[in-house]
Amino acid sequence: MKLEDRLRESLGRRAAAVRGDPERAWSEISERLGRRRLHPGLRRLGIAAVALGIASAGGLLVLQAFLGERPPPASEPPGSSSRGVSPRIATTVEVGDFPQEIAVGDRLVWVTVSDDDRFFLVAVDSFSNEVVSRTPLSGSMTDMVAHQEGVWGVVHAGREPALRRFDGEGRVVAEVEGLGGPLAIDESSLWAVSRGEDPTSSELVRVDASTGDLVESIPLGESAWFLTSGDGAVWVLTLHGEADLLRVSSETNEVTARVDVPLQGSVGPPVAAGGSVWVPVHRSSESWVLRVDGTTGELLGDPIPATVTVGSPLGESGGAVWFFGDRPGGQVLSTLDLETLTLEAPLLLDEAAAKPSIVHAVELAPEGAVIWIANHRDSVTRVDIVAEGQAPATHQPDVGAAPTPPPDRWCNQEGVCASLERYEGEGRPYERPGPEHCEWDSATFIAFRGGQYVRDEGGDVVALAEVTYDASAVLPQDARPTGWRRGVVELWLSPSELDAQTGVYRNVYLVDPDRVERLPHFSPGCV
Amino acid sequence: MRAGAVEASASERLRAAFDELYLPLLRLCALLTGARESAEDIVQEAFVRVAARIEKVPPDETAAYLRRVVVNLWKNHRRRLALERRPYPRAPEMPSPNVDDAMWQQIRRLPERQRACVVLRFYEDLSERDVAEILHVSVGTVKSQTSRALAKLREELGDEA
Repeated sequence: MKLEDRLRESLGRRAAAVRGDPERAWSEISERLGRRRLHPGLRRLGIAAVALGIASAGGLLVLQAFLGERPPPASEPPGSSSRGVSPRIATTVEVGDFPQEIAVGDRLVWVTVSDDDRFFLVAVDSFSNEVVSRTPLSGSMTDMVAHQEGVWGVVHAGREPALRRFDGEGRVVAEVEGLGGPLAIDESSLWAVSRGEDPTSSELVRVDASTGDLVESIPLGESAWFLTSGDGAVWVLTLHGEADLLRVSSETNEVTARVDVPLQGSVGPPVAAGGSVWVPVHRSSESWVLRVDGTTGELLGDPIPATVTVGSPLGESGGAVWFFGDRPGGQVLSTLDLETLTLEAPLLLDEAAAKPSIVHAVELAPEGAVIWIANHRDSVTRVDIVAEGQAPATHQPDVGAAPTPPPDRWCNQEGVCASLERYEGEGRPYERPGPEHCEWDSATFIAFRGGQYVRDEGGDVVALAEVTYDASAVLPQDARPTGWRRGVVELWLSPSELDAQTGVYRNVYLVDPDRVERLPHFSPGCV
Repeated sequence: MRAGAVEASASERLRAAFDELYLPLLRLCALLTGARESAEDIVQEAFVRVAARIEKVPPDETAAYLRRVVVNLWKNHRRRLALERRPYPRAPEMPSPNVDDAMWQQIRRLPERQRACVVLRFYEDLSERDVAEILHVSVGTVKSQTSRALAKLREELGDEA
C-alpha cells in the first residue's frame, strides 16, 4: 500500500475512534452563550459604569457575571471595588504576517513576524506609529526584552541559540553565542541562562546589556525556567522536582534568598512590582498568587486565591500588577491592586483588539497603563487603559490638540505627570537645578532616556565642558516630539542623534511657539 | 419581535451547524492536538466565538469558516503552551491507539506545521491551495512541508511504508 493511502487509512481510523459527547458539549456551549446573552450590550455598559466609578457590590457582580468569572467570595473585604478603567484602542499598526512575539521599549515596540519560513524583526515607533525598520532574521527569535533604544532576543538559527542585540535601525550591535532564554534585563545588565548537557542544571549568566560582554556566571544547579528583575536583584524560578524562587543580588551576584514555592501544579513567571515579587501558581482550575518580599526574599502572608483568571504577570502600572490570562471565552487582562491585594478582571482582550482575532502576546508599555497587543493576523494594536475620572488620552503626537499641562511639570499626552521630587526612571523627564556646590545652580538639568541634558543660559556649565547649549537652535529634520510637555514647551528628540554605543541621545530639544533650544548631553560631575 | 426572530434564526443556524459539524471538527482537532480533551475545548471555543457572527457567514461557507477557526485556535493553543512552558506535564490524554500504532506515533512526532499539512491534506482531503489558505502560508510551503513529512514518515517507518 502506498504511504499516502496508508496515511489516509491511519488518520481515518484514528479519527473514527474519537467519539466525543455532543450533548454535553452543546450544553456547555449553550451555558457559555447564555451567560453572554444574559446581559445584552452589557460589555459597553459594564465598562462604562466602572469607568464612572459605579462600583457597588451589585455592579461588581454584574460585571463579573458578564465577564464569565466567578463572583468574588462573600468574605472578600468591602472596598474591593473595580479599578475603574476602560480600554480605548489608540492605534493599530500593520507589521506584516504573522506576529509572534512583542517587546515594548521607551520609544520602540519590537515585534517578530514569521512569513512562511522567513523571520523578521519589526520596529514600530510608538510616537509616530510607523514601522521604522524591518530586519530579516536568520531564524526565529524568542525571549525578547527591550533595552534603551534596542532589543535583545534569543535567535535560533544554528545548533546553539545566540543572544543578539539589535539597535533601533535593526542592526546587530552585540552577540553572545551559546546562551539562551529566559532573559531578564535591568538598567545595565542582561541576564540569560546557559544550559549544559545536564537538563537538570543551568547557570545564570550576567551580560553587559550595552556591549554583550560577559560579566559573571552564577551556577544554579537547577534548571531555570523564568527570570525577572527588580528590587536590586534578579529572580530565578527553578525546577528540580519542586519549584524554588531564588533571589540573586545584582550587587554581589550571589544567591541571597531561596523561597520554596509551596503549591503543586504549574507555576507562572514571576514579576517584581511594588517592592514584592509575585508568582502565579495554578492547580487544576484553581490559581493563587504568591507574594515574596523583594528585599528579604521571604514569603509574605498566605497565597492570594485568584477570583479571576491570572495567567502570566506582565508588570506594574497604576498601582497594580497586571496579568494576562486565558480562559474559555477569551483572553483577559486582570489586575491585582497593590494596596488592597484584590484581583479584578477589567478587560477582555479579544474585544480590545482592533480586529476579531487571536491575541498572540501582550506587553505593558513602560510609561503607564498602556498595552500593546500583537494580533493574530498582521498587526499590533495599542490600547490605552483610561483611569477613572480621566479623559481619554490622545496618543497621536498631535501636541497642539492636547490640553496644555501645567507650566511647572512634565506631563505626557495620557495625562501622566512626572514627579518634581524624584527621578522615576529613564522614561520620564526629571528636571532639577544644577548643584549649588558646583555653582551650577543657574543651569537646569533634565534627565531623560538614560541621558542628562543641561540648559545653560548663563554658560556656567559649558565653560567647563566640550558641549554647547544653543538657545536658538534649528530642529533636525528627523526630530519628533516625545509626547512630554511642560506648559507650552515640548520635549523633542532626533533619532539620528542617538548614540548606538551608549543608547543615549546627544541632545534633547525644548520647543515652544517662539524658539527651539538644544540641550546637550552632559554627564560629568563638577569636581 | 424582529429581534427575537433574528435571535432565533442565529440560534437555529448555530445548532444546525453544531449538529452537522461538531463531530467532524472534533475529530480533525483531535488529530491536530493528539489530545481529545484539548480538542473538545478548542471546538467548543470555536462555536462560542462563531455564535455572534454566524449570520454573517454564508451558509455554504459555514463548514470552512468553522474549520479555519478551529485550526487558528489550535495554532494559538500550541503557542500558548510553548510560551507558558508548563513545568509540570499535563495529564496524558488520548489513550494509546490500537490501530496502526506505529504510523500514528510517527504522525504525532511530526513538527506542528508538517502535521497540520498532513492532516488537512490526507484526512480532510483539502487541496494544497485550501491548506495554504487555512494555515496562512504559501502553496509552496504546503508542498514542501507535506513532502518533508512524507519523507520523514517513510524514513521512520522503513520498509513498512
